[in-house]
Amino acid sequence: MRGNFSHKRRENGDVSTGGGNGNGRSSGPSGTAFFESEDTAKSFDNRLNYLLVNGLGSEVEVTVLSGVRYGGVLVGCNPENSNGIDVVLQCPRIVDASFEPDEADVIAATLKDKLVIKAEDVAELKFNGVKMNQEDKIHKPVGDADAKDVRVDSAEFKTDRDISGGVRGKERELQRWVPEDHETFAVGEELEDSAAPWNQFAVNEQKFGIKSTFDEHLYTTKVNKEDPNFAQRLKEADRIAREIESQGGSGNVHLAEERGIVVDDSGLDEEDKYSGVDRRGDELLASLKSSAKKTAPAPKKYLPPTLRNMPHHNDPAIISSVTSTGGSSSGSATVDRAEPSKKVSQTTKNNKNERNNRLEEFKEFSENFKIPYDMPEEVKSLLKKPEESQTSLKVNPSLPPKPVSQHAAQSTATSTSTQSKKSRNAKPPTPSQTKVELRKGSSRLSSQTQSPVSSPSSSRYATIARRRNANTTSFFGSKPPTADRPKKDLAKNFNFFLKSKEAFESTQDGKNQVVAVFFIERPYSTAPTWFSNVDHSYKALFPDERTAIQKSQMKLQQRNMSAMAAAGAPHMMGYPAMMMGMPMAPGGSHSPFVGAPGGAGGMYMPFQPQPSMYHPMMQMAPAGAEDVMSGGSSPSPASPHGTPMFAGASPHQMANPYGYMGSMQFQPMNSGFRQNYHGGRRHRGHDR
Amino acid sequence: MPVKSLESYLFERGLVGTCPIEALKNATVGIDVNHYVSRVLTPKREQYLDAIGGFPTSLKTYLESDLLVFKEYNITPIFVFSGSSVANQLEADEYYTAAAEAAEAAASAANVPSNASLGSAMSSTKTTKESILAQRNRGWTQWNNLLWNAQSSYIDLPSRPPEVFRYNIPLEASRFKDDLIQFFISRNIYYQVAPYSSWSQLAYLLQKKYIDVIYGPTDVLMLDVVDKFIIGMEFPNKEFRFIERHRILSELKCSSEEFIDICMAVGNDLQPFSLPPLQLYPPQQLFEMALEMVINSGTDFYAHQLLNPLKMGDSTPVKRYQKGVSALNFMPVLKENGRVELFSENEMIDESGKEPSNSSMSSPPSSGSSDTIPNDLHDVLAQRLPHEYYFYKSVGIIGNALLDAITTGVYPEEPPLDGGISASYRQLVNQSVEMFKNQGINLLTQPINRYYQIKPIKQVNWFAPEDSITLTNRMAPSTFDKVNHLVIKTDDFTKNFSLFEFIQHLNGLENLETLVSDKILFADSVPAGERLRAPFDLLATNLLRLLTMLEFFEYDTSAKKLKTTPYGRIFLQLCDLGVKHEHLETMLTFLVFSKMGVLRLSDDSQSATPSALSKATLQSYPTESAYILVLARALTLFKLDQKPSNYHGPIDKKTLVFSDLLDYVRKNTNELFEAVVVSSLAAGEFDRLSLDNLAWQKDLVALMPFKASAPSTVAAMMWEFYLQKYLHNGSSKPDAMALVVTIFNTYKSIPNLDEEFSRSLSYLESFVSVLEQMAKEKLLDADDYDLFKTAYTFAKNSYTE
Repeated sequence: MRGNFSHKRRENGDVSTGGGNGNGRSSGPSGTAFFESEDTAKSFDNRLNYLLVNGLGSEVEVTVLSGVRYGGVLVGCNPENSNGIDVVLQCPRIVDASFEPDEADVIAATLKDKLVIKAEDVAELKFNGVKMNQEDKIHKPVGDADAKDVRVDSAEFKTDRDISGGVRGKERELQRWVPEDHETFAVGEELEDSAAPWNQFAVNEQKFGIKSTFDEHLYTTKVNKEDPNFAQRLKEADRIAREIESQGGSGNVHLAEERGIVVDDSGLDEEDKYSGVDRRGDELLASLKSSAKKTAPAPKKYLPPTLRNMPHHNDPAIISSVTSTGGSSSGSATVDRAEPSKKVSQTTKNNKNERNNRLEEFKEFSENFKIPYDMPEEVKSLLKKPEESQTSLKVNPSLPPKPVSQHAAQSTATSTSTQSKKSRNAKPPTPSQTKVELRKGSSRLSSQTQSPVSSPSSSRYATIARRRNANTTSFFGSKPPTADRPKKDLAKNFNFFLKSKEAFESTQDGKNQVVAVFFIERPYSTAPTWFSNVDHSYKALFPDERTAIQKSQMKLQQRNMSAMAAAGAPHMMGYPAMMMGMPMAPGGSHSPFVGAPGGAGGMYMPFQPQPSMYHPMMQMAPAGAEDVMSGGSSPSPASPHGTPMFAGASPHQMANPYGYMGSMQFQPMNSGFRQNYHGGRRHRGHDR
Repeated sequence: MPVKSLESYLFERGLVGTCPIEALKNATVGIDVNHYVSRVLTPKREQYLDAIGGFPTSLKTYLESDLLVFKEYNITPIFVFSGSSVANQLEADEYYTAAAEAAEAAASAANVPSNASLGSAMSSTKTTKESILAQRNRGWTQWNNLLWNAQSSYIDLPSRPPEVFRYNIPLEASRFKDDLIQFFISRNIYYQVAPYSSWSQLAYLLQKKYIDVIYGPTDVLMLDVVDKFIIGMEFPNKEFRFIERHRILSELKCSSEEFIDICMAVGNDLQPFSLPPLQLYPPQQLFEMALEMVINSGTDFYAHQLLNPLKMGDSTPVKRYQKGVSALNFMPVLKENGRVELFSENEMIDESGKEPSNSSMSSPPSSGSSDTIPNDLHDVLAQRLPHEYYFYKSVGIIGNALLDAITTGVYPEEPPLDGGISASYRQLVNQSVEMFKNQGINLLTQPINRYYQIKPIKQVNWFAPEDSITLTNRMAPSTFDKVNHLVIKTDDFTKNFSLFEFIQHLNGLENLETLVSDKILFADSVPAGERLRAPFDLLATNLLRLLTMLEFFEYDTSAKKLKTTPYGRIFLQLCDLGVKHEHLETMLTFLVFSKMGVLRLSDDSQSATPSALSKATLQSYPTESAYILVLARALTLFKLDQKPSNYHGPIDKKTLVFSDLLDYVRKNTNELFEAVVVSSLAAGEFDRLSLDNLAWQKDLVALMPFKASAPSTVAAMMWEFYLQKYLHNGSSKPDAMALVVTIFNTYKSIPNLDEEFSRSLSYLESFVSVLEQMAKEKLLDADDYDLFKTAYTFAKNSYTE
């Protein structure tokens, strides 16, 4: 293949041959034959450079002035030479020596590994099979080239996308490095493993002959062990040392350990002891942390940048202000994107729900929040007073809010409630108005979640929040275990002997017969096999091959149907894949029907669908997908009934991430209808 | 083993709820012991345990502190151990071949520094058992290398092992089952050993309202009778994490049936293999991948197994899948009527006609109606034992080993902690067949279905899996008949059994002949009053029978004469020889060990293990090194009073090898004792109706000897390195003590070092006198005794001077 530029270059070369090898530089010494304006020349230069860069490593043919044509791989060139281009060829050979047939052999004999041809000698440079990677640029019409080049050359900021040029890198299976059998690594080669103490003096002496004159006593007081008072002094020194050490590590376990103090550190691991930051003593912070952890789970899904400004993705602390002021506009933006067909009223409702949802969580946060300090007695007594009004409000949240009297509002505003079963030492004073809001919110929230309509980005979030809320009140629901309820007798039950006797006695009483003697069931009466009531193997309970396949097909059909149904609902057009809660297919396939063949990025398909199976799906398809309907009548792949195989029309299939298709029967699709179908769907999805 | 990668998946997706522990107030929580231990002893903890042996000391601390929290909220915990393995689990533990390779590798790597096996050690396809062995092997190889490389520089400061012995591998709770049972009994906590899967048993307990909630592994999600269960407890935060089944299923968007299909494919407790095509994926993502396949393409993994065999005609995955699902659907549990029956079915329904069938509560998820119970469940589970045996198992009278050997036909011998490379260990394994297993199997099969009496049972040793040894279950006369005239009957209900009491009782008799009863106790004609009634009598009678079988006593059946052998004489003298009560059991173990005669106290074990002592010590002080060797060996039986801590000190393989020998003897003695007790119970010699569950546990199980696992080698190593330092530092005790304090971090693990040293010294003294007596009875080479005596004097002088 020869690129556009290669033609250009040849033209350029042809023209300039006459002009003495100038390559069209504007200020070329004799570039009269080919003169252009500075801009045009520059753009030609750019194109040439581009070609040369891409041409490196490709096969070229160079004609020198003597007429001999050399072929070889272009490994280097120098366009800066004013006389043209210096060329370095790897593995040169003579292609055409017809001009000097006599010398051909001689020249051929002198050819080495590399051949450097000076610019002065180059008559023509011809590229064979240059690959232009950035195809999108090449295919631009020539008229566009100027603008294009300007854009490329200008040192503007380039995004990743610009740099990669939209070419998606291939994913490779990462392989773990394993040493070859013959490679062995003696442990001694590693620094860490050498247990021998490193004696620098010995090495220095051995290697460089330097003898150390190090004497410890030059640096420290010499201890006179001969001194008659030595023992006494040593004792004194010990005492002082102990005194220092006994000052304690002020709670620092590591320090204490160094000082030889016995500390109970059984609950600590090494990280806590030696490397971790000591976070004790900051219970308030810790409690804040643990509570915050529960209320604000980090969004796990990838969010498009446009959605990142949404309040619910940000710090909970700023949400209230945002939602109360500018929340509605940004909120509806999200909803618009996700659920395009929703009416405005719905979106505002949804938005409100979302806000209530947040508030609900704040409420929970405030309830769980504990100030880890003792509360003064008078505050406690204050807290206990307004119990009745609070309880009546709280007990039945499903009732409509009672009109709050002035008195009650005041009391709630100035005090906090302690009526909840959970230990709530303190609760920030909340205006009663907010409580009414909250209750409304929660009831509405439940009604919202019952309907299938929910914003995909917030549905999971809402579920989690709701669940937590439900469970913090009581894990066991309405009937929590109490202390005084009768516990089942573990001492007598499960006792084979006692229970057998009991059973025996109960039958005796009932029948009122002659009193028989109770015997413990003899162990040999138990057969080595288990109880059974049918005379076949456990294997018979499993479907045979044929049934299993049919079942599996049914399952796929169901999956597709439900996917279809979900997508077919008019207000759910946006992101069916997200609506389904499906993980995106590996490789980032954009197909909304991840489960369907074709667009699934090589998704594993257990069977070849029968034509008949697709008809119900076709009928399910919403109007507007004409291509689908037309595709439905196109011939389906002929495949024997029940044979497992793969639907494989996707080009991704070759880079199948699952890697187990090799063992499968593989048959490429010979019908395009499914791909059309999904292609059509996909486009629609994107166009919205 | 929980469902692979499911737990992390659920946590990542935020599908796990959090609730304060307070919500469990007054509740009864059923705890799966395996799950609990795996949560508490995370892979980070006790990483050197396999190198020192013994019970994980930190486990008790966690237990105690957790129990305090339970108490604070008036929560009643019930711990349920798992019992036998189902066929799939046994297959996954197929160590007969795999472990043999690992052991071979260990043997070849033991003496020569070589890292040949390092690369392949951590492959993801290995079963848990294989990875445990591989990791140990790796640890020992690295340690050997360290010793080898440090030869020139190591004089008296031992280094710590460079490699951990447990990494990303759960600790086998079954190893410490008996220790845990003893702990629970001492704390008055109710426990149960399930016949098979512990979490199925928990589900039954939940269904019958014995417990309010389950604390168990993710496998519980497969049971549709459990809607909500606890997956983790965070005691420091006073919180627990729980899972709600219907929520999870709706979040995952798959039906119960599909969920089980996924679980069976990715691997779970009942089907531990990852089936194709999933075995190609990294273990951390298995569940996610499988779920994706189901949701996106409606994959049915069972159909996949059928349609895409890895090799033509290879139906192994299909079989595993079928067995897994069947085991789930037809799991036997111990029911409240004391019988072990299938969870879903009630066998008694025909007989009593009163019990309502619960089958509707737990309809099997994927295999037709619950009324269908196939006739070959013994292939899925294992063969069935009498209810009575399962009951003994549930209270802890008998462990799994021999019972499983009876039901599966295989008694597997696994390599011990040190890898089992020593010839003496293998010899011991071979000898144990004659001395222990044949008798145990005979005792256990005699009272039960005749099928078991002719069923071939073999012992498969890991070092020679092809040459299995057939165990003899038929003997004439049977073992039981040989000893059943030996009876100790005091009718003293106040006396608690202990070895001390036992010895006192025998020594108090004028004549051992009185222990031979004229008639057998088990015939129906014997009135109840003449049978064994007091728990002490049951245990004492059977200990006497055990010791007779081990030839500590000689019983002439025809002449009805009972007399002691030299070993028996020493045993009866132990108290007079100054052996403390707490050491009687280990001393008895040592006597049994010496009787088997596989290794002399002073001899090096074959294919010598490098000593933990330095080369300098071995060369400069050969005599003292020999002293240290015998002292260390004697000290492997000494239990330190250790505070719970994660041990990170030095290790000593040579001592561990010896410790493993003794522990093997202890284990076998225990199994035989359990068997003889069960045979006596099954024969009806004891009034079994007199005790309720708690009494069974407190009066019998808690007092049975040989249950506690061997002590760790820390005590031996302390003396070893103390004496080494002492030798090199001009016989300076303070220096040596300082070394011990430093390297063993004693201030945190051993609170009272001095006391432990003097305690162990007095233990050694009693050991000397036992050896002396043995030498007198010609049971021990006189040289050995002399050597040990001098060694003791040496140690004593070093410490007391």
